[in-house]
Amino acid sequence: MRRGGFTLIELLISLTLFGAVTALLLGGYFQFQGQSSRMSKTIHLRQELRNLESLIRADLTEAVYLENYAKGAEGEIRPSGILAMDLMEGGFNRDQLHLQVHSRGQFFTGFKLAYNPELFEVSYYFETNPQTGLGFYRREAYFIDGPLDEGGDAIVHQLSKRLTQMNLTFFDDQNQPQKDWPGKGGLPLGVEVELTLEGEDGTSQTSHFVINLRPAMGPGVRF
Amino acid sequence: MKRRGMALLMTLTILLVLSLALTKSFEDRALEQRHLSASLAQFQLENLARSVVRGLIQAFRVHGFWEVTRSKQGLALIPAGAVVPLGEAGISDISITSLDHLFNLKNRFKPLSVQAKVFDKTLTSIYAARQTQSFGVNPEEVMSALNDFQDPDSDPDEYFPYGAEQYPQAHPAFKVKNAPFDLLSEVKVLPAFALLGLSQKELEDHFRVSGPLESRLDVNMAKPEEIAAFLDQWSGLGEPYQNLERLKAPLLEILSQKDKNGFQPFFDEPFVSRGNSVFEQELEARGLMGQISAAELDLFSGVTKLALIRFTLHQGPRTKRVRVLVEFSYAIKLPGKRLPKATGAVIHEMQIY
Repeated sequence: MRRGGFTLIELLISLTLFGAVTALLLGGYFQFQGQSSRMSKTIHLRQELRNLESLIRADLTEAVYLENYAKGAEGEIRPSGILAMDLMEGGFNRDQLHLQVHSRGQFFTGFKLAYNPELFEVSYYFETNPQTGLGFYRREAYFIDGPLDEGGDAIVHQLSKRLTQMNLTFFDDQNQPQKDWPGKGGLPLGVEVELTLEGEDGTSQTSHFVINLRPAMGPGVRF
Repeated sequence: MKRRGMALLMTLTILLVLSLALTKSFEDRALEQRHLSASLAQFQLENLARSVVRGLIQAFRVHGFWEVTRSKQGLALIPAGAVVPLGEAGISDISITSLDHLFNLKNRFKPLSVQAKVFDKTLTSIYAARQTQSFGVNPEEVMSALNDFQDPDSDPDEYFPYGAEQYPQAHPAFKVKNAPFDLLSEVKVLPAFALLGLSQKELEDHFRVSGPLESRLDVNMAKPEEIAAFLDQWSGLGEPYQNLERLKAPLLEILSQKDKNGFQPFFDEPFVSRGNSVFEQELEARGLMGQISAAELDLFSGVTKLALIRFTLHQGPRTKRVRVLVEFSYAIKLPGKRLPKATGAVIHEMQIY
C-alpha cells in the first residue's frame, strides 16, 4: 500500500521554489530597508535643518534696531539690530550672527515671567571644542550688558553637531548683497541664509531661505 | 494541507514585516509634510500680517482714523470674536486704541514737577484699583532709576540721588543704557521699577515710551473710565492745572456724552481748531470756558497720535497675533472740515508672534 507524502523530487522542487521566492522577498525587503534607512536619515537631516531654520527665522523676524540704544551717549555709536561677520574656516562658510531680538527669551530664567524684558541679545556661531568637535551654538543674553557680540550673563545651547556651514547675505537699502552687516544704520532689507548639514554617512542637505526684514513694513518704516 | 498552511504563514509574516516598514516610512513622510506646511503657513501669515497693517494705515489715510476705528461703518461692523475671512486665512479680535493719554516714561523727572506728581498719582491709582498697598515703594527712587538709566552721563542723578549708575548686583547684572528707552519692556530691567510689582497689563495700561512726551486725551477714542482716570491723574497738581480738580465733574459729563449712535464719546470737530470745537462750545454754553487754562485745554485732543493696533490672524489650525505701535502725523485741518486725516505714519514697534 502506497503511503501518502511527497516524493524527493516534489520536495526538492518545493524547497527550490520556496528558496527562490524567499530570496526574492528578502532581497526586496533588504533593498527596501536600505532605502528606508537612507530616506529616514535624509528626513532626520532635513528635520534638524528645518528646526534650525525655524529658530533662526524666528529670531531674525523679531530682530529690532534700537535707535536710541544705537545713538548711545556722547557721540558713541553702538551696534544694534543685526551684526554679522563673514567668516571662513577650512574652506567652509562659518559666518557669525549677533542680533537684538524683541520677543520673550526662549530660555530666559532670570526673573519671574512678568519681568521678562522681551529684549535679548542672541548670537549664532560655530565653535570647535577639542572634546566634542565642531558645534553650532546659540547664545541668549540679557541685552543691556555691553557690546552686542560679547559675554554677559548668557545661556548657551549647542544646537547642532552636524551643521557644517552657515552663509549669510544681507541686502542693503539699494538691494545690493553684502557679506557682512555692521549693526549700524538700521536693519537690512532682507537676509539670505544658507545652512548645510552633513550626516555621519557623508550625505549632506542644504537649506536656503530668504527673509524680508523690512519689506516696506516693520519698525522704523515711514509712510 | 498543514505544510501549505506553513508556507502561507511564512509569506504572510514577510508581508507583515514589509507592511510595518512601509508604515514607518509613511509616518516619516507625513511628519515631513506637516513640518513643511507649517513653515509655509507661518511665512504666509507673516506676509499677511504686514499686508493688513499696510491696509489699515492706508484706510486711515483715505477714510480717516476715527471713521475706521469708531464709526458705524468702520471696524465696529465686525462682531467681537468673529473670524472674518481674508483670502484663505481669517482675521479676528482687531483692536485699535489710542495711547496718547498714557504717561511717557521718557520724561526727565524733577522734584515737585508736574511730571513727577503725575507719575506719583499714576502709581497711587494703580494700587488703589487693585486695593492693595505698595510695600516700601519709593516713587522718588523709581524716578531716580528712570533718570539714571536714560541720562548720558555716568554720575548719580542730580535731582534724585538714589543708588548708583551700575547694577552689577542685579540678576542678571546689567549696565544702564545712557540713552532713552526704545521699548516699554526695558523698564522691567530696573530693579527699582521691578519692585513696584506691576503686572504686564498694568504696565501697558498706564505707561508708554513712544510718541510725544506730553499726555493728551483723545476724547473721540477714550472710554468713559479712561476719561475719569485721566481727569483724576491731572487734577490737584497746582499751576498750571489748578482748575481741573474743581471742573472735574462737569468735564467728565461733557467728555463722556455719547453720540447718537451710542458709541464712544464723539465730537464732530477736533480740538486742534480752536474756537470751533463742540467741546469748546459745550464749555462756553456752561460758562466754563473762562475758568479753564490754556494748558488744561491742551490736555484734550480730537485726534490720536500714537495708536496700538492688535489683531489675530488664523490659517487652518495656526494663529499669529500681531501688535503694532504707530505714530500718526496730521495735516492742518481746513476750516469747516471734520477731523483731519492722518497724512503720515511711523511704525515704532511691530511684533508678529
